[in-house]
Amino acid sequence: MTRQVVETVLSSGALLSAPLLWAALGEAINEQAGVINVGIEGVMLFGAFGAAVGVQHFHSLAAGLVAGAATGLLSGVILSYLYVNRGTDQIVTGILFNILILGATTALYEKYLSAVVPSMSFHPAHIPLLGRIPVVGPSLFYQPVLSYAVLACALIVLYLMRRTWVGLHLRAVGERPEVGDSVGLSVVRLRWFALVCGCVLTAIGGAALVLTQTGGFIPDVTSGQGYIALAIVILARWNPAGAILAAALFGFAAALQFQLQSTAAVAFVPRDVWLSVPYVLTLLVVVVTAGAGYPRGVGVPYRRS
Amino acid sequence: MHSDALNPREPASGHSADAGTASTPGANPVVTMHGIVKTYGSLRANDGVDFDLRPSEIHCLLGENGAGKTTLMKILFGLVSPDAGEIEVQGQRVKISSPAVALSHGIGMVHQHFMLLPNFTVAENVVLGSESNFDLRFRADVVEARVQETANRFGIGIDPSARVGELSVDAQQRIEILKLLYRGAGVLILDEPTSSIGPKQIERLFATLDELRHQGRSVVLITHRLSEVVDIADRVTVLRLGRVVRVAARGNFGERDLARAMVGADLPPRPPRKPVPPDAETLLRVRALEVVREDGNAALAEVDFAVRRGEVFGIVGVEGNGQRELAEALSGLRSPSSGEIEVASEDASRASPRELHARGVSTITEDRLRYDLIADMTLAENLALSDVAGGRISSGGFLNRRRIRANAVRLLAEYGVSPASPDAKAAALSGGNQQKVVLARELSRNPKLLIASQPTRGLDVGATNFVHGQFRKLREQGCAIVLITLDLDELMALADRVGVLFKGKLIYVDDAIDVSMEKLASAMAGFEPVAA
Amino acid sequence: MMATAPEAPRPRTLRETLAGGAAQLSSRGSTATTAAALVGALVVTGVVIAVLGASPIAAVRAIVSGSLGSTYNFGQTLSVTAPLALTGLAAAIPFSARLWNAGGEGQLYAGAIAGVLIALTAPPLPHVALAALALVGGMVAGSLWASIAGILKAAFGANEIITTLMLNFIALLVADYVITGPWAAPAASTTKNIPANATLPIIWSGTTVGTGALIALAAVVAANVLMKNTTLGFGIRAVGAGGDAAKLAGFRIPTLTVSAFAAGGAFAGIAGAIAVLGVQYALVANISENYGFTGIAVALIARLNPLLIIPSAFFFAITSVGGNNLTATTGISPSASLIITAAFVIFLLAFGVIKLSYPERSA
Repeated sequence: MTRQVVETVLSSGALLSAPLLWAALGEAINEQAGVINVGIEGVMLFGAFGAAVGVQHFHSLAAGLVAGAATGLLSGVILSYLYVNRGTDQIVTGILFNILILGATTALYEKYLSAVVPSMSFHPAHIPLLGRIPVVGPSLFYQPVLSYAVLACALIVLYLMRRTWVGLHLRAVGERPEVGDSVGLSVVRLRWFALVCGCVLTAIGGAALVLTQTGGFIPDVTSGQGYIALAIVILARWNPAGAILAAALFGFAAALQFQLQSTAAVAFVPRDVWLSVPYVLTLLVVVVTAGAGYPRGVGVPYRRS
Repeated sequence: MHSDALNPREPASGHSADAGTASTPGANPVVTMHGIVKTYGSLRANDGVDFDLRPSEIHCLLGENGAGKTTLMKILFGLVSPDAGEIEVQGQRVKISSPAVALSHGIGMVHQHFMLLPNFTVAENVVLGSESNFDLRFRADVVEARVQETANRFGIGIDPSARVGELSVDAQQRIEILKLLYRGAGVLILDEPTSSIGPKQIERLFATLDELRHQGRSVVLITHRLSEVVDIADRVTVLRLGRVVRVAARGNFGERDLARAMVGADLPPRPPRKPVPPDAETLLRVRALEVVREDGNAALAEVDFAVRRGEVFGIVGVEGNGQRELAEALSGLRSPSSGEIEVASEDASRASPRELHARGVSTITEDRLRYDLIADMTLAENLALSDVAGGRISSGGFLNRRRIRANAVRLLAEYGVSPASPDAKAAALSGGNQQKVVLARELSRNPKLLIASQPTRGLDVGATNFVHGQFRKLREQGCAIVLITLDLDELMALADRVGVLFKGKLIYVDDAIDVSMEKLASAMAGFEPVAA
Repeated sequence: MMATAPEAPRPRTLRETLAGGAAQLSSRGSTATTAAALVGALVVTGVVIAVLGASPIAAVRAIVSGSLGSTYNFGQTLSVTAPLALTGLAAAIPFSARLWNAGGEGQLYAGAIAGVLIALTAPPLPHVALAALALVGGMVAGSLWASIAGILKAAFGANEIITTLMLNFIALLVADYVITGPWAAPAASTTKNIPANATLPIIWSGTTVGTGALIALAAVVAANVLMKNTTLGFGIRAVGAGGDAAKLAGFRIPTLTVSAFAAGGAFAGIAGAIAVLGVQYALVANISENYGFTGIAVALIARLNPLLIIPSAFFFAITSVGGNNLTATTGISPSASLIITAAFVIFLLAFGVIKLSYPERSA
């Protein structure tokens, strides 16, 4: 009995971690280039919406994924224009962007999607050898393809940020954009690049949410997971590999919380208490990691005098 | 400030002083600037300036703060575009629209505030931007080797894998120079490079510059320090109020006439000062002060000194040897790890800024827009800042707006601040006027003790003299002053007693009368001078 | 003494451009850019409305008539101005200290929860006393809820954006528990009704304008006095405009941090209590129609100036109330008003009509 519980928690934990990890990877890129995107929640929500529309229209999961990623592109362009070209305050603009997307996706959902019954989602895929390992095999190694993809993505992002010139230059303009400018780097182009890539990854996270978990879109389906990803990035110290562990922490906590909701031993605890676990955990993480330093250039729009 | 150890006409690198390494009159100029005009509003920063630079030349650009030297070089480096005028590089007319363009013509600039990434390695800083924005494949070992090779070629000692943030100021300066050399710069512009390093480090820098000259590069040295010009320059161009007033080659200039050219008149002699009476009470006593930084290193250790009524204690040293931490400890921004601070015989070791204000301690910091003034608040609000915090200008939590305004009007007039408008934002004032506002606030409190860090940083002669005058008045009124400065001229003009900070310790303390430049220079480099 | 040139304000260095000054907002646009921003926002709104399947002209007519077209509608708009002004203050005061209070929503709910619980569980008291008690309770609850974030920031340096956002979700869950738990009403998604002795009376008969509107007005006046005439307000502005200089001048930053949040949260809490005591007479599931987040927009448009909060809140109330009418007449989702609100403010930010500047950063 316990073994089944463990496998369930592991399995759903991994499933729940994946969208958070996508979003955290995207945000790690943004922040290392010097932009904090509080609009991450909106980007993720938009990605979820795009995926739902894609599936609805084209009856294919791949289409849903592509549509979700495409919304990321659009979000990235809009936010880049605002943050980088117009130099608007990043925090305030991000909050407003979230309101905008919430309103837009809710309105469009009510008009076009509410009658739709969610139908498609990615099925988990077996990994040949590792899938045989007891406990871990049927859970951690029996995940949708998107979840394996995000792990690969984390390693790619790590390589790009640490072992390439692009990564060096992105991190340089995130640290001190004026230094980058003084050696001829284009702060504008580098930040655009970071934001667009980052938003695409974040949007894929939203798409993953719909395509692997909920199977469909409801208003505010992300419910704060984008914000949670902000905390994951800090916890991971902006390291993509660290983000895997940090996202896992939140994913497994959420899975555990679901399990506890239906556990007889603690039935007296109101459901709302369990539901608050991810948010309280985020609070704790933020308090504990408070000393961690954002890249120095984060939050301030760059303007050459 | 003289560095006696560096004999002017003997290149320290050991090459013979033959004309082949010095600039040859008549050689075709590397850079020519002609008729440069740049106006900011009503201010003509550059008013038809001509400037030329020859190969293998160290050319000093001399002038007061605000004379237009930095503006001229920013134009050459592409940070600023001129309103009129032409630039020629190697005889070709060019338009330098950005630093990238300047670098492509081989012109590079080392700014006063270094353009370095403290969390990245030396090698990463040097090669940043040398490959295109979006390349892949960065190999740290290959890059470090290449950087080391360039450094060796010019005799610059560095460790390519060290983190820049951990290096000393003059080491960072060398990296800035290396950055330019790595990109093949033939012309290096250095903006006030000696303002934050000590005499021994200046020697080392000049040795490096000499090597560069020997290898055919040209250097423009922006400075306001006459002695350095005399030491190192092949030619000097003197700017005053945006115009060229003198161009002279080595052998044809000396300190006196350069000074006169810079300023337009002879400097006034220093006024005599009354000695401090021997029975004057001690207003500040620092005992065994120790401050440990967040990273575990001791910024200050066993610091011990006293300052009496009506006395100026000048603390000097190369930047980064504990001055900042000392100022923070004395002004209440930082608690010492151990040791005592006594103000007027009462313990103040852990006093907050508010408590210190109440006890008659005033502070002037080196970074006025960060620590002294709030740029976006009005002058009236800035002048009332500490009074409001201390509850001295309010009752029951409500502000006495009328008194705030009346005070502001009075102080602005008294200190000659322009514009004398209480509603003007602090950001709108010039540096000198901003410092006047700071002085007005801090000095009008009739403090018992003043902690001043680099109070004339970035100010021109007029403003500097004003500040010094105010300090002298304060001294006469019996205030004890701790003056932390990097400027030896300022030190000698004001201090009664002198202390040198080196790696967090006061390794040399003496009366100002008994101090000599050699002793100071030695102490600043870490050698305890033999007792006189 | 030698002559020197008259000192002109020297050109801004790179550092200063990146620095600047206050959390106070400034208006840096010319009339042309403001006009362009307004036009841009209207165009986007029109496009959104068209995409959602209605004619923009009809939509504008619906919004205007829905918010201003009749006495009742006008009263409704005034009613909605009240909570928006309060959540606007909840954002504006901490923002003035560069503390990003994104938790107006949660603080409002905290006030609503306290208000309804006091109303439902207090012993029988005379009308004024009970209503006042519930109101004050709401104010205190909102203040405390916000102070959590303030204390976490002051004591640990915890990022207040994330903490206030998380506290929003937690507050919603607590509200859900109250609504579905011990005080649930037979009807869905609401608590039992509060006793008549706890309600806030209507002051303009024939409309929904109640005592809440007067309370909001008083709150705005109080906030204005706070920010401009008290040491606390001065300290909040000083910290926002130049934290290091404020510290050296003697202001105690941790105290001001918590105070700024406490003050902001108090206003949001009052808004929540008013919603329960004067509008819904119970705690219902969606008692706040995103008032918390809209409050941020209200604060920005008002440039953090308490006096401008009322006209700003009024504008957004028109969008909100008019937006409801939009749904009734054209079938567009009520969320459309969120889109309009957000797009409008984003355009103003993008065109520099409202601009946040930055205090001096570390060298």
